[in-house]
Amino acid sequence: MNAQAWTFGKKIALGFGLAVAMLLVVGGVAYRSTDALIENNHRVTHSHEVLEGIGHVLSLMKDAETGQRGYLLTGNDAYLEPYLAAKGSLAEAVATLRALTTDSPAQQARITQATPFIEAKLAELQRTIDLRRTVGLDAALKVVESNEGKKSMDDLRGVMAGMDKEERALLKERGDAAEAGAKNAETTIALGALLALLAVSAAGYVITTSLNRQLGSAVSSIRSASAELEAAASQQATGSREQSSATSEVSTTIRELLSTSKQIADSAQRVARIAEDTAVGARSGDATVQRAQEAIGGIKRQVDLVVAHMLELGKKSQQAGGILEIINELAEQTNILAINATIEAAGAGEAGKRFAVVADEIRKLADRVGGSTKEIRGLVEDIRAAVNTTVMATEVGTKAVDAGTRHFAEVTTSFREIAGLVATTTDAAREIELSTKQQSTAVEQVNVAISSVAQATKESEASASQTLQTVTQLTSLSRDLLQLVQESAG
Amino acid sequence: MTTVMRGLGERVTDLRRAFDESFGASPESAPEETIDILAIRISGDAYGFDTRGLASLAPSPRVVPVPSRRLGLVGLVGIRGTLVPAYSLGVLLGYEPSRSPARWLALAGSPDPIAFGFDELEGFLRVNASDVRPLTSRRHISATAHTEKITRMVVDTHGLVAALKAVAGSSSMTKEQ
Repeated sequence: MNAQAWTFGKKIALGFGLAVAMLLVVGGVAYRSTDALIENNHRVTHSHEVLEGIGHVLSLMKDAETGQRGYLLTGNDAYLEPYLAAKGSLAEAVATLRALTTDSPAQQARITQATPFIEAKLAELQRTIDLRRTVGLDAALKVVESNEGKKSMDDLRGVMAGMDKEERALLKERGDAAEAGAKNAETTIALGALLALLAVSAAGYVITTSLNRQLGSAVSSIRSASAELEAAASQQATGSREQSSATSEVSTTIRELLSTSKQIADSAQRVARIAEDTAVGARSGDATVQRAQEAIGGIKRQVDLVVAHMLELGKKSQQAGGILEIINELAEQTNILAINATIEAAGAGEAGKRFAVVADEIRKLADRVGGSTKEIRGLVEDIRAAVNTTVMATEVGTKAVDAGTRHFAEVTTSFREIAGLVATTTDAAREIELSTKQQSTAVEQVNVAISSVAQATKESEASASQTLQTVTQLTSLSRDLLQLVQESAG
Repeated sequence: MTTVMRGLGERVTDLRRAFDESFGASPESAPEETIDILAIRISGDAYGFDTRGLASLAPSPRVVPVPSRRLGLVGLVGIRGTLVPAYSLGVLLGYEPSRSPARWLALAGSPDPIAFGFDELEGFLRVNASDVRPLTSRRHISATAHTEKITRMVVDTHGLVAALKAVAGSSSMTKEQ
């Protein structure tokens, strides 16, 4: 995270947050120290109460002994009052002392150790009092002189002195702890306050420096931007003047454009009329082509018929060829017969001469038939060749007719396409006419709009001058602000 | 096509006219003495038979081959119910034997004819007797006939038949002995 990019609010919140955190730490430490101090005071008070309890038990024992001595010396029951009061309160005083020292097993043990001594002393006091009342002073003094009571009292004092000593040691320890806690709290609070002061000062310094730097930078940017804005405003003013001039030129051009649009509309109208005439011609041509296509179809059927006849003729010529073969064979056979007849006639001598003449005629006829057959075969072959050539030529013709039919179909399609295109052209010309009229209207509107733009340009020029003035003031203001920031930073 | 048909029609008309006229023509008066020659070719050379020496002409005969050491004998052939020995005229005249069977047979000699086979029959020729000149220098050739700028050898059928029969007779006598 870049601290430079933080907002002022964030930085100030961070500084105050740091100060509050330091105060919280110092407050927490002070609270804990104070709490520990109060606890130590409670313990010191408790030790004082224990010491007071020990003193109270010893005091009651002394009161009991004082009452016993007074009664022994005087025999007056009035001197027994301290004794009786102490005897009545001792049990409670010992119980109180036991309750106060429940946290110390050593003190509890000493109380248990002191209890027999208290009971023995009280028993010795009660016996001497009873002896004084019933026997006399001497009997009682004899008991006193036996030092039985003194010994119990001395033992009790020794135990109580041990208790007092330990409690006083505890008192001293708790007092030292309370003093140390108080000093610790004092040091912590002082150091915490000092640290908080230092942290808040440092945060304040950092925030102030950062704000000065950023504000200074921002003000510099504003100053630079103001300078640029001033230049831009100057340019805008110049541009507005140029725009005003250009607007005048545009207005002139638009007037020329309006005139041209009207001419285009007239031309489009003429194109539409011509396109309609062309459409009529295309429809007429389409009908003509349709009739020509039907005629071509008739020619194709006739050509197919001719081809069929020619093929039939070819077959017939083949059959004629077969017949010619038979005739040729017959002629050959006749020729052979004639030769044989001639041979026979020659063999017959004079008698066969007339027969030989006939046979010769037959042979000549057979020769002629054979020759003619060859000629006819040649002619038939010529016929077949001619038929084949004709069939091939007719097939070429058929193909040509087919091609012609296709071409006519294409021509028909082309005519239809032309008719469609002419219709489209007509529509387009009408649309152009309409569009041009709309365009003329639009151009007139544009002319009006351009006039408005010219007016707006003049206003813009005035506005740019005003902007320039404002920007100059803004530049001066930013300079003043920068000086202010630099002075505050310095 | 039309030209062909017209030519064909004209030819048919001519034939019909010739045919009709042939019956109307008068017989030729006192013709010059002629000799009828059956014109043939053997291996391209022009030969001919004097029809007076022939018995008959037969086309495309089925010759049954027989094993023989006789010169030119190619087999037997049935002509009008009679078995006739068939010889190769070319071999007899000194040509190499042909691999294909002969297309024509000329029968000569009676009462037991002999057939001479050849491949190409040119036709029937009638020549003046003055154009036929005897020739003795060549074996089995009796004369030469001069026709249409061609000199044609006339086969000596009588001599051939006699020679072949003589050979056959001598061999049969040898077998009987």
